[in-house]
Amino acid sequence: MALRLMSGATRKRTDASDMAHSVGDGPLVRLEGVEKVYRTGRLEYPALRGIDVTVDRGELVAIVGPSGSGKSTILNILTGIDRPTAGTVTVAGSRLDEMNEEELAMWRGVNVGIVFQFFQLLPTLTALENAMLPMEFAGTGTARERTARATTNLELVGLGDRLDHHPMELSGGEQQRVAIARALACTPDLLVADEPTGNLDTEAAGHMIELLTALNRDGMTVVYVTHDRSIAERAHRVVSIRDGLVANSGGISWPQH
Amino acid sequence: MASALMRKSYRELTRHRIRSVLTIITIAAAVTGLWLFAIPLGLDNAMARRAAADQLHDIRMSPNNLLYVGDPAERPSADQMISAEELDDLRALPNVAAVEARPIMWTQLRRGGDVHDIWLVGVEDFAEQHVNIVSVEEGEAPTAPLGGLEALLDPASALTGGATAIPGEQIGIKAGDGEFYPFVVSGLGATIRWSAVAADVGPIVYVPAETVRLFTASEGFNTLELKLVDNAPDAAKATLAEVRSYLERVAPEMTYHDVPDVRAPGSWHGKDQVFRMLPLLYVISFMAVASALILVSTTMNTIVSQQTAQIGVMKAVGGSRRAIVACYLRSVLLLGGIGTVIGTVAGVIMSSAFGRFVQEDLGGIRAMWSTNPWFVIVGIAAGLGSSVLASLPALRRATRVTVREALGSHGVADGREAGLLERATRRATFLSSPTQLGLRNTARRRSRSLATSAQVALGVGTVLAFSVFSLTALAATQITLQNESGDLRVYHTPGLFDDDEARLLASRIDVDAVQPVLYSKAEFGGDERPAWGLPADPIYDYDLSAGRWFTDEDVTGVARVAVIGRPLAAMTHTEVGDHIDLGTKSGVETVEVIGIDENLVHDGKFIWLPLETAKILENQPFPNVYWVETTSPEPEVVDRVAEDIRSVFAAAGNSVTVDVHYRDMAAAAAEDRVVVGVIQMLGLPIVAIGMIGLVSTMTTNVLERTREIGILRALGARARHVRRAFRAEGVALAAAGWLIGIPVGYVLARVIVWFFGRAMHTSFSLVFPPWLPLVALAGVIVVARLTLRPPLRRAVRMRPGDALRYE
Repeated sequence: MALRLMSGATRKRTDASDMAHSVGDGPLVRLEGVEKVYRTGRLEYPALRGIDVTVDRGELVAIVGPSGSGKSTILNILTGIDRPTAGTVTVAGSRLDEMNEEELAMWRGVNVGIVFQFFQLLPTLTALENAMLPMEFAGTGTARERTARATTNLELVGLGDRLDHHPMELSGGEQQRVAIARALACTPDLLVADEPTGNLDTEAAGHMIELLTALNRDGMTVVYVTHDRSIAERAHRVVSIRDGLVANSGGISWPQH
Repeated sequence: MASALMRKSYRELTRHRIRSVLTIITIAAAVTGLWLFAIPLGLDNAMARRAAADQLHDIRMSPNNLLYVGDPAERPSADQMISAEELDDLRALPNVAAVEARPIMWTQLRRGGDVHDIWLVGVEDFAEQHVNIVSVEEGEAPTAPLGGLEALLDPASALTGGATAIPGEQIGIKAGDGEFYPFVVSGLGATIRWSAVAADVGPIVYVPAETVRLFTASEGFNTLELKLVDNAPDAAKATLAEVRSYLERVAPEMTYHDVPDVRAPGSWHGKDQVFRMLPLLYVISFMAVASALILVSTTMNTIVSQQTAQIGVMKAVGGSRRAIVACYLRSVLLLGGIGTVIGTVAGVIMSSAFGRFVQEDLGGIRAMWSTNPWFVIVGIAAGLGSSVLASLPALRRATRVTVREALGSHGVADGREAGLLERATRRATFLSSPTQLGLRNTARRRSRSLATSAQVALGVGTVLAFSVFSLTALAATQITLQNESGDLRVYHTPGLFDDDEARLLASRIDVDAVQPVLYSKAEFGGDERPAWGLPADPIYDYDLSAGRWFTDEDVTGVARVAVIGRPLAAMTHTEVGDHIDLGTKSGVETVEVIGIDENLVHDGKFIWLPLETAKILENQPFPNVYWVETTSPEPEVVDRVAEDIRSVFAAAGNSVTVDVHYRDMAAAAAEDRVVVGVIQMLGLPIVAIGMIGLVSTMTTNVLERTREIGILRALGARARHVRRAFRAEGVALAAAGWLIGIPVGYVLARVIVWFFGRAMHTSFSLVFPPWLPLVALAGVIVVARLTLRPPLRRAVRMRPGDALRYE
């Protein structure tokens, strides 16, 4: 599938655009000595115990590991959804660990596209409106431009005829494709996906990974978490996480369960 | 050890503390609202106890029995008086339990630079009283004048005259010779009969009877108060007739300065006013209970829908319907129980405080307030019962959830279909996505949105209804006051205006016209009514709905005719052409009703008589009041004329009281504003409950949509975007509540005004200005935005990671 998602888009300059698409010479993502401890009442649960991970521009990286190993936490940390307890997080030249929640939200809206395991589309919005939402948050373009761009993105993921459908009127695979169109809304540098195929049947999962690799071929950096060995094998590199530590980062080395 | 299900019931409430607290507050407010019913009944009981303790009179008569020893020419004959022995004979009459004869005097009190008109009440023996017992509340009873002049001040005097002397303080009281004599305030004392006068008319000072006699240079008494064995109306009337007949026999020429007052059993001063407020109290109670029912119902529905999966798990592991119902019923009873206890305590405190305020403000009496245990029982039963009743739909729903349905939901997916309202919001493309999100969520959760809007509507409706009622009452009062024409009213204190004084009045600079009026009373329809003698062309603007006004011939010919107020006509079923019997000072007189007046002076329970007729019936050769019109209604002119009249009469050695109409109107308006404020305050709890409902719903929405907030934040939504979504939701709910509240308010206002009119035997024109709903809308939006702050803050402060992990 040929994707030309970033061509022809008009970007309106806003306060958020100051944070947009910082270009640097180093890796796009750099996690150094990152620790994350979850606290629930008196209980403390260390999810990450000091990891170093880098992702270069244009890479397609899979993060794998058993349940509770901390792989989703890594995604949350590098998207600014969670904050590290210790360590530094640099994405697209920005130090996420030094930003407050509001700055993180603005940064995220412009720089990262996120695809969730359960799609997490907003049930009261149509496919088109879901796909427009990040642009509205970022203040990108006019309403007409946003509509045109979201329509283009939905057509490119094969949902041009489903624009006015609500999530409950779409299949799981279609919902996940809307989620990808939404993630592409602001032409981010980085696309992250948490178990993007976890809730799909084999055929839909195959289409999904095709879509991600096509996006990567078009120059987008993609990081995804998966349990599925065959899906992980499609990545350039696999980062294996076990007990909150990087067990392996390089060629494919499937963790032992 | 509590069972697992029991612990679950408890933990459901502690887990969502805010929601539980809001529900408890609402139930408590509703139970507190029920206690409004206790106020009139509690007040009635307290006043009845106080009336019994004070031996409140059943019959009061006002014979002119004072013997003026100073002026032999005015010394009454034996035919005009009764002796001490004859008084003893009165006590021996059948059905007479006790008799108290007292001298009273209308005079003045000076405290510092202030002078107040007062009633000086003489008590024969403070240690041995039989009727209208004056009890010493603080300090000592005054001693006989020979030991130095001492007085007991009624504390209710502070309400009318501002006479707030404390025991030990020195005051001056004016004697019949015009001199002020120094008195020491020996204490504070009260009796229900005179405290009511102190609260309504003017300060009351109790002194030994000898002091009054000394001050008036006279002997005897001029009030006769009787306590009866049987005070039923017929028995009381028969006894009054017997007493009158006895007095006519022993003192055939005795005259009276007032009509006899036969107190209806159980009546007390201000009772009508308090019971007239009942419709308002009923409305408040009803609205509070309705509001609480809606909130409890919504809360329980929310709990059940949030716990659909848990219900599925319970069923999957063998939980029976009964066990599940018992689990949630325990939660309801816990919420209801705590709310009821708090509401009962608050209700007892509120009703007691409000009751005391009313009785002190209206009746000037500190009565012995006690809480009726039946109210406690009814309040608890109503609190718990209504909580359970309101949760029945949710409990029914809980038992019907299937295991498959219950275990199948996760994420922010929502299986509900988009309704008509939601589809309508899609067309509003000019709205931002966050606003659309909020509005569509409101439209999608129809039942909850409707319940929340209903709660807001009850609050808005109550405020509108109370405002309309207040405006209607204010308009009626103002129209009444405007009809009471004349810039000044000059009262002779005490006594009557002779022709020279009338000429003196008319001759003052800037006096345009003077009009003689005789203020008096007559018994009609079982009670004492104001009966004024008026000329054929009064300054007063009558408003006849039937019949005619007096002609010159009626006045000069001393025609036995009367014009009465419509409420009085309605309550006595009197029509134009009817002949009615009036109890006057000269006995029972029959007059023909020739007109019905719509004005609400004295609540419309008045009798207008031709001036000359009134003079004859009242045994008064001259008027006791003059209505004065000045050449200009400007305040400075009116004030100057008032001051001129006071000083010219004082210089002539006569005392007059001058009422300035524009000041009376301003005072009445100020008083009305206070009453309106109190009425509005009564409506505030309903508004508060409505707003609690709004906060509760919004808090629930934020909780339910925590994951959605996380998604929005993850997609780059800033705080303002999240705020906008939830604010749109809250404001939409409030605005819908406002819209529903307008007809609710209109209907409620009509009901209240109808009840109020019925209690007063009249009808009022509803004043519903078009700006009122707009003011209510602005108020609702402002209050909604304020009350939405806590849930919005919660939504905005949520970290996206925590929100996404929220279960």
